Amino acid sequence: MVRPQMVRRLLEVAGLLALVGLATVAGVGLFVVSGRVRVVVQPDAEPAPDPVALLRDDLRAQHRDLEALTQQLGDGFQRLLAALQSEREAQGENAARLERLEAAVRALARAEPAAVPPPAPQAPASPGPSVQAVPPAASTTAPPAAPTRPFLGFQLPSRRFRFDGEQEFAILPDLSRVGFDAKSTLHDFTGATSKVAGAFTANLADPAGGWRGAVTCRVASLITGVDGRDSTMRDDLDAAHHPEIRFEIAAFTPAAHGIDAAAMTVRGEIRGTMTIRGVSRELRMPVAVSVDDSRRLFVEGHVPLQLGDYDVPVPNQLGVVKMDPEVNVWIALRARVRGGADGR
Amino acid sequence: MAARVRLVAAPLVLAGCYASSVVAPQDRAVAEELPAAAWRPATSGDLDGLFTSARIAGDAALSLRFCAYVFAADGRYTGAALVDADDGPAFQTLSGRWALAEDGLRLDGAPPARCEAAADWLRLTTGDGSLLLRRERR
Repeated sequence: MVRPQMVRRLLEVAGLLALVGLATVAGVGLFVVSGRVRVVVQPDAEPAPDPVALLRDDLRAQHRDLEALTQQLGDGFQRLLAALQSEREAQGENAARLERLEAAVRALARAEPAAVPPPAPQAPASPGPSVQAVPPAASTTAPPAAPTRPFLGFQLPSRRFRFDGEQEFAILPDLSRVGFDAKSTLHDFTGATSKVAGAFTANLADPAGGWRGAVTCRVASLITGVDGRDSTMRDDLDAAHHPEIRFEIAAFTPAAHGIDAAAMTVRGEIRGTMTIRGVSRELRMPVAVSVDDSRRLFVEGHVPLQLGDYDVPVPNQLGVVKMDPEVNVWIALRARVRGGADGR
Repeated sequence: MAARVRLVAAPLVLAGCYASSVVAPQDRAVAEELPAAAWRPATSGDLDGLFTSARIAGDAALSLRFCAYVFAADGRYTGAALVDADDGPAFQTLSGRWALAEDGLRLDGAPPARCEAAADWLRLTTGDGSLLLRRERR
């Protein structure tokens, strides 16, 4: 027989066990679920934004973006323009440099092998004297530059004197003189002048020569050292109507072994036409040609000349003081190679 | 008769007194003015002033017609030259600093040139030629 106290006791134990079991299950369940459950506390819902304000903000933002974009585009175009200009200048310089190089190559190709100068040293880029070429006022385009070499700070075209090859020589009046020696019963005298001009072309090394050109002097500038005699001489030479004495060079005939290229000397005979007092006659004058250390041509020669051949009156004072009708005409000319290395 | 004799005799007497003025063949050429003094190595004092070219020798003479330098005592210099370029004559100008050393005159970085002096003259010599300069008093 089960007693009621015992039953109650059992029920209490069972109830206690049930509570413990529920608590255990609840704890296990909480442990399992706690990693997967997140509790979010949401605020209360905001009021709906003003659409006009939103649109205004959008417009402002777009305006700012547009301004920034415009600025960036402007900067970009500026840089592009500068780059294009720089490139164009560089192309221009390259083209000019190319032209100069082509001109130099052509000049070298024209030159004969013996006349080709050694490679010119590069001009000292830095440090060095600042050299400025002053261009002629009328020059509008940069001419092709020939090879140059420095000389005491200046940049000179690289040239060497050519004994061979046709070149043009210009007479240097200040360093030239022509004249004549005359004899008279009173005393012998010389008339001379430095008012000499002219130019001639010659190939010094070529026996055929190809010499041609002209030399002139002013009659009024001839002086003998005696004023009265000078006046008479100008009258006799009719300086008023024939102010110049002119010699046209037509040819040159070298003497036997007259061309010495090593010594740069030439001996021979110049042939041409002498015009005095308006009368022209052929004249042959033996000459000696040399080159001085300034690379100038020195031409000297002399030849007898009959005054009567040119209708020049022979001075005669009362039949007592008489002048010899033959005078000795002489030249002492210095001439300089004209122009550039190719004889221009 | 006596007058005629005097007339004939007079030129003969005058001829004896009136020396010939014929220029000797060696004197026909125009003489260039060149210093006769002996050359010596230049000192800095010789360079101070204005100099113009009197003669140019060597291959440089084929292109260089004329030049002038001004050397200042403080080491500065300036120069000008008339150069026969391929397209015609043209002036060149330059400026910089000069120095006189044992190996000669140095114009900035240019190769040295032997520098000699004689009274109012300077002679500068390089491998391409020599330049004779005359001091200008102006």
